[in-house]
Amino acid sequence: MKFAVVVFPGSNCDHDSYHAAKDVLGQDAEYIWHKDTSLRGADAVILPGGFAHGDYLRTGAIARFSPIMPAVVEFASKGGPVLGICNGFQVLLEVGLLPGAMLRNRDLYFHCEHVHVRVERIDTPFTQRATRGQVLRIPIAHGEGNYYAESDVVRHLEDSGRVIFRYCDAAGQVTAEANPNGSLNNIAGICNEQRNVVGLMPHPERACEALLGSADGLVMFQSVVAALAGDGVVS
Amino acid sequence: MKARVFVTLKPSVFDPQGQTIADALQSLGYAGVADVRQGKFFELDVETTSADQARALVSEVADKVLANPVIESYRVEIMQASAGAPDAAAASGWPAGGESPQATAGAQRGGDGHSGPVERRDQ
Repeated sequence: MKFAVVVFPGSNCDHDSYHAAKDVLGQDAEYIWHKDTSLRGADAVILPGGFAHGDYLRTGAIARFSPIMPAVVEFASKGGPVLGICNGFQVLLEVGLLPGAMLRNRDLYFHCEHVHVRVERIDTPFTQRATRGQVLRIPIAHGEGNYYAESDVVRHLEDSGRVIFRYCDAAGQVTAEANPNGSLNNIAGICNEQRNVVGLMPHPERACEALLGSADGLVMFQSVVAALAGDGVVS
Repeated sequence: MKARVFVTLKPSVFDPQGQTIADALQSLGYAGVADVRQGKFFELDVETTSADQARALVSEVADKVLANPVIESYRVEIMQASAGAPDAAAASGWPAGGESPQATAGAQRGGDGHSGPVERRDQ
């Protein structure tokens, strides 16, 4: 299967995502420049981390108008798996594929550190090889990862099981101390109504090999490969 | 014709930058400053024939690009070419009086599209 890694001017985790898909998992992968208008038959799309357009105006605010985005939106509307990592998550929020917005980290610091997230749901293409409650140790690197949505939106996300990852401690407890940025309800990642578009602030592609300090993120890539191969959810 | 757009976080959204500034001002001895909200200011040069046209165009731009309606609201001022002062009909209440923005104009698709005083509505 083929991964498309969209590259915006200022993306800097595109190579890591490409590496995870191609070198670690042996899948086909291709960079797609943001000015292209076709995803060239990709089976899964990754919007990578970085600082698209320098985060000017707002994170992801300009990237959401890139020529490639209508193709991404169409791909998503047809059920194609789309993963937005960090800046990619911000782009998905700005373009409206996911609800809510990112605010500046509550303590105003840029957080560059390993955190733990708990997998809340495994019924998405990116989590189906994980287990419910599984704790993943993966790095974050962001200044604006404070997830916000109006209370009725948050309630709906919670009620419909669309919170996919939550910041937690090493033991899997969701605590205020484990929340690095002030995100409501410790939300680290969510999915859309159709459950094929997932956005998360932490970087699984930067935790896909032991050499990187953690390989806990690899399960997300393995999951989408399995999902596209038609394997069912392993519970 | 010049237009000004002021984008601010909605009152319900916590503003850590504004809070930090307010705390700093307190430390500096400005006890009279109760609250600070930080926002963004844009100045646009628009080529339209009328203030109404300018306002409609700038409101659309503000709605679509300059502000994120999930967390921000905006207001538009059109500067008439003749004077340096804002269009009198547009600049109701700013910057006088310490009036805090209640408007959620940005949340309404179409923004504030009239050239009268900016409506302030609680949501």
